[in-house]
Amino acid sequence: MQLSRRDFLKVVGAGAAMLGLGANIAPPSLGARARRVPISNKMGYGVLIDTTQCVGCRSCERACQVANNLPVCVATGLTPTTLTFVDMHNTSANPSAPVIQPVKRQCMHCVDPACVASCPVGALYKKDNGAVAYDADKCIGCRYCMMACPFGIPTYDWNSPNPKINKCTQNCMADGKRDRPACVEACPNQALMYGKREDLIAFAQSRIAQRPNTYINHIYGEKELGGTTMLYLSKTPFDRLGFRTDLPSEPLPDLTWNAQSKIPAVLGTVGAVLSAIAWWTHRGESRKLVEAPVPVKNE
Amino acid sequence: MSPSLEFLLLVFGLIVRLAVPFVLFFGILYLLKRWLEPRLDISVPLPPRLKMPFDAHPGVVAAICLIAIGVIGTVLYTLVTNQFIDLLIVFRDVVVLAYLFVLRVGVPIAILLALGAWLERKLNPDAARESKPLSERLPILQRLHLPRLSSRGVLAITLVGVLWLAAIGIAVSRFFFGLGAVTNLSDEFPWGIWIGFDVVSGVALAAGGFVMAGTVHVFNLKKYHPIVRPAILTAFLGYLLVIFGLLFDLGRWYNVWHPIFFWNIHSPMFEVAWCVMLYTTVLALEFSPIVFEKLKLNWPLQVVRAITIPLVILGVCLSTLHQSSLGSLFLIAPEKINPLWYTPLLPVFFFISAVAVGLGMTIVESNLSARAFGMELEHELLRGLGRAASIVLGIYLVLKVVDLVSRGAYVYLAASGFHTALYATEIILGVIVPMVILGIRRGREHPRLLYLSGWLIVGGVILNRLNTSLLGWWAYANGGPIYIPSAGEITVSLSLVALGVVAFGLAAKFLPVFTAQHEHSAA
Repeated sequence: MQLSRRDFLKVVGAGAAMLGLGANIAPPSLGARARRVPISNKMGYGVLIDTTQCVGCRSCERACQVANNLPVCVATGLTPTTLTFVDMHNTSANPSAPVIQPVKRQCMHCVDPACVASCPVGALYKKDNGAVAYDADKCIGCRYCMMACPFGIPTYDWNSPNPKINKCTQNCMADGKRDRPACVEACPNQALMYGKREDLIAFAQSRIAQRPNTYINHIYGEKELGGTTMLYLSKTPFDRLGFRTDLPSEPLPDLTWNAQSKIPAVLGTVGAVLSAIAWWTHRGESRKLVEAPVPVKNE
Repeated sequence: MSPSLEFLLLVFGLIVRLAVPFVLFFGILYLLKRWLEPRLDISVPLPPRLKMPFDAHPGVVAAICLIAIGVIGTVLYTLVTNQFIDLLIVFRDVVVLAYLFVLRVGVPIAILLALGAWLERKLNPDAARESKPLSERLPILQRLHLPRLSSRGVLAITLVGVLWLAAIGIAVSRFFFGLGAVTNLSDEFPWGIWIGFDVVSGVALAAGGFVMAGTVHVFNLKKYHPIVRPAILTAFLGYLLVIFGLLFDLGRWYNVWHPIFFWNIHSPMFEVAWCVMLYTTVLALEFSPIVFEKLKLNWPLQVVRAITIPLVILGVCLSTLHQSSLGSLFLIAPEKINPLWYTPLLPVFFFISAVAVGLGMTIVESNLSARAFGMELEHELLRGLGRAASIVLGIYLVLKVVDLVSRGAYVYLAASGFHTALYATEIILGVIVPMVILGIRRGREHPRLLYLSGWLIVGGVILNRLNTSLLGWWAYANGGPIYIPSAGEITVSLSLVALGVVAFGLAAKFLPVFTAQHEHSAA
């Protein structure tokens, strides 16, 4: 097979055109300047957790374990078999007079979750009602969601040959079994409230306004990382309850999307520039790309 | 189940339905013929028996085909119906049972046999003296042509053998009992050195392939031609090892093909997965002329040569994308990574340092293979690479400093002793020292200094990747629980490196990797 220079240029040109087109025909949503489409613009439902009302009875823990067929135990942290637990925090600065404040912990079900953006196969996804759900059949077990989660929520079956990611997925409400999560149902003191996220925020704001001495003026989850559907009210500043208060108000997926969205442009530019360079550097070369046939000895 | 999976299942079902009756039909026909043959008096000479692979009995071949189809079919079926793990657990139980059987039955018998032989020798010394050496009793030992090795070679082979044996044991426990059985990973540290070193550093170290291929085929700097082939071989082996190493780390490794069907364009990991898949194919094509030359396949060789330039351009594009996207992976965790390493420019830094380490790795690899195979080193070419690496490192350093100052992150240099030490080591030993050595003519022209600076670049980039993916995470500075790789993780990583070195040596021995000095060989 002998190639002429003209053919060679055609091949290079076609390659350049294909790569260059990548940038031009890409839909505007993939373009570098386009704003990222949020993973879910459905704010959905959420839970308002009023820590001042919590008495630390752990009924929510138990209800969650029963509803998800998990072993019933008193939990001290999130594990593959504990999707929610009541964390005890000492909010007093005086070591001789501790004040114990219970705080329920679980997946925050972010409005724009980092785990959903990071999952390469879309095993984690946002449901219409706001819950961040998990499809184990898709999961490849890369644990990037665990790296991405700013709250350190997902846990992993480290001792299983068929491991899964474990976290609250509001599975207790699946198939219309309940109209609100099992933990909310079980709370005896109305520390947990289920409802539309915007209603919960309005309600929390009115509570803060009515009782400014009981609450600090901060709804945790209203603005953090673009918002979460799990919202917290507290009497003491949130950093004393083990919450991170240094989180930015932009959703984390924006950060990776800033880089990801430039891919078509980079691909097109690099391809076009390299093709041009290849054309330029190969320009006065011999007409035939392959001059001599490879020495082939037939045996 | 997705439509593409259903299609796959359909095709597979079709193959099974066609193949099984085919094999059965011919198997029965053959048995019938064998049964009838002695009974029929046919004087017509039958055609000579079809030459079967390994000259086996056709019945045996048919049976093996049937079993193989059954095994492959079962595995594929369980894979697409997500029951593979059940099959694996059954297999695990069989292995454990077999092991117990060997332990309880086989081992006592072996001990008895050994004791008997020893007693026989003691009681009847004459017979023992007359007994033949092992190689005569087992003729197969004579047919094995074992190479004669120096004592260092024997030592190296022993070490590698022990390493691989240990790695196989670790692999068995990892795949049957989970990652927790052999690693120190935890919910706080879900990624360890199998990602930080094997994958993130491994991909960077394999950058020599795209850098050298681009230099020669895009920029048409023909004098670098002799070092393209080893660089492409290194890159190809590197990517194969990255994929192999990834299977160890992925919890649900049997789903590794899922990114092909289930898309999430928001995930940098998805982009890396696609680029690595495509680029491995490109590398295989770039590597294929070496194989075609060896096998004297003229036709495919010409085809690959005709598409070399577009292929190399595609390879450089894919490399640019995924080398930088490996940096984008860490953009999602600003609140966990020390600001010394976390910057929105992570993808840019990952790409530039990949170019630098591509050049550095080529210097190291040329020196190593020149030593191993007793060849002349192309000092002139390596000097050129060193100069280029110095320029790239200079750009990298300037950008790093500008970024650190403009973000105001330099204050963190005073904050934590551990992280400051890591950062200083990475920048001074991995960037500034090689940049200065390679930037000065006398430094470049000193072969040992050139070799040393190659190693410094490689070490610096590995440290940078480990810092970004592991050591730069906040817990290392805040006194929280930290991750230290277990012996099992280190063993597997080391045996992967050893696998790469051995594979490179074998390829260099049997394929024309270093003989492509003639002008007309293209790829």
